[in-house]
Amino acid sequence: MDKVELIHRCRLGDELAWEALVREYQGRVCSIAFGYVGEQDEALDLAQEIFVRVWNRLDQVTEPERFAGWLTAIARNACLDHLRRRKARPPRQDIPAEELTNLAAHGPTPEQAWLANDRQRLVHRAMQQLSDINREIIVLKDIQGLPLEQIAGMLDLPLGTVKSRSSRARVELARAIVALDGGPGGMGQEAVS
Amino acid sequence: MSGRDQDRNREFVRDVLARTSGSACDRACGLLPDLTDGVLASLDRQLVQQHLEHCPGCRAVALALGWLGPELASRAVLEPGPGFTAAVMARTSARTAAAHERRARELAATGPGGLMDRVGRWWQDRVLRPGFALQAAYAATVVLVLLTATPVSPLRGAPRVALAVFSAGPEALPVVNEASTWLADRTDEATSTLVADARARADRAGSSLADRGARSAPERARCAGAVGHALTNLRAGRFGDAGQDILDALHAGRTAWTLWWTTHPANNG
Repeated sequence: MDKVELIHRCRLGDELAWEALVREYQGRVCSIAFGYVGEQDEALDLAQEIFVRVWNRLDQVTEPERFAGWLTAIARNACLDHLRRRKARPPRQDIPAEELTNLAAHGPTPEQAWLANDRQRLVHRAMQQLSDINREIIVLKDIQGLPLEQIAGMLDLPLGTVKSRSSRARVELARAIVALDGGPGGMGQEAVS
Repeated sequence: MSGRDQDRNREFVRDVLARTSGSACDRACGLLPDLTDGVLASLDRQLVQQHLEHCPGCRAVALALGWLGPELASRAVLEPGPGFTAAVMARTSARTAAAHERRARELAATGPGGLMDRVGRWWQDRVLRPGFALQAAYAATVVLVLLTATPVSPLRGAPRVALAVFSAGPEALPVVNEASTWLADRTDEATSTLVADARARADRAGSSLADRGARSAPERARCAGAVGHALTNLRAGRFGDAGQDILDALHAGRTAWTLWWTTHPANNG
């Protein structure tokens, strides 16, 4: 489907075109949101917010052929705004253990939906231990596969800095995985060897 | 070489490094991403691989890096489930409907029409743009700040006075008096500013200031009288009458403004 024509029709208010655009990019937007916030329900709400924001700014797409990069930048900004708001909120009160048990018994947890196996859960837990900047680079570079030049522009950093940070972030993530997995010879290692 | 010899060698190398350059693990780990990506220079690759043979910790990190790349790439798309698209469509449908109406109007429009038609269509286009609400809110905020919150604002102090009036209640006549005094001061300032501005504009246009003044004098007098009545009623606590006087003043002021700027007296009616 021609992306330029699709976006043009979205601007004119064609619901079918907009629905097609949402369907095409919703998995990617959810992945970005999940990478930033780390919780599935929160990521789903945030992904909806991102699409509303995209809809409100469709007139600002100057290069429709580069829509994916524009969308990623919008999603990133929305995620950062969300994280800022989350940090500004007072901490939630602790939930009693028995209520936690009841909560766990209802509905699919993130582990059941987007984190289907042990290795995915291990990577997810390790991701939560990264610094914000390293997690962001992992999301943009290693998960979304954006070119380093685009990430450098998005983060407003020199290309060399982004490249070195990307390498450090991967090593930090691998070390976190090894540590969570019980050191050399853990589950993750056995699965590979 | 036996396992015991290997352990002894490993300890020997570790002791030497500890007394000289320090651990080589950080250096090796720094090169592991390039090794995984296959872009490491030949000598570095050999050195890192040799280090990995003797360092279980770095070997574990290297193994994790090996499967991590494809694992992360497989997470680029996370499908949200069946209800997600419908939820997004519901949240954007109101604006979609508005855009539909705009398109229908565009299709129905035949010919350029008169000036007001074109202005009307342009305005509707602006209003129906998805970002209009945000842009309008932003512009309104800027205008409000310029009018009330800078040292040279014509209505500086208005929020404070309005808040005082509302919080004081109708029985607090002194507060109302203060507000009316403030309103009178602002009216004087605004009037003098308007007169100065109008004089400058009239000079630029080459028009006779006296003619314009004479044309608009009755309405200006009516406006001033209504403002005076409004202030009197405010001081007396007759808020309903004061509101009506303010409306009269606004109406007379608008008429005076129109008469002032009408170039040809024959068109005044």
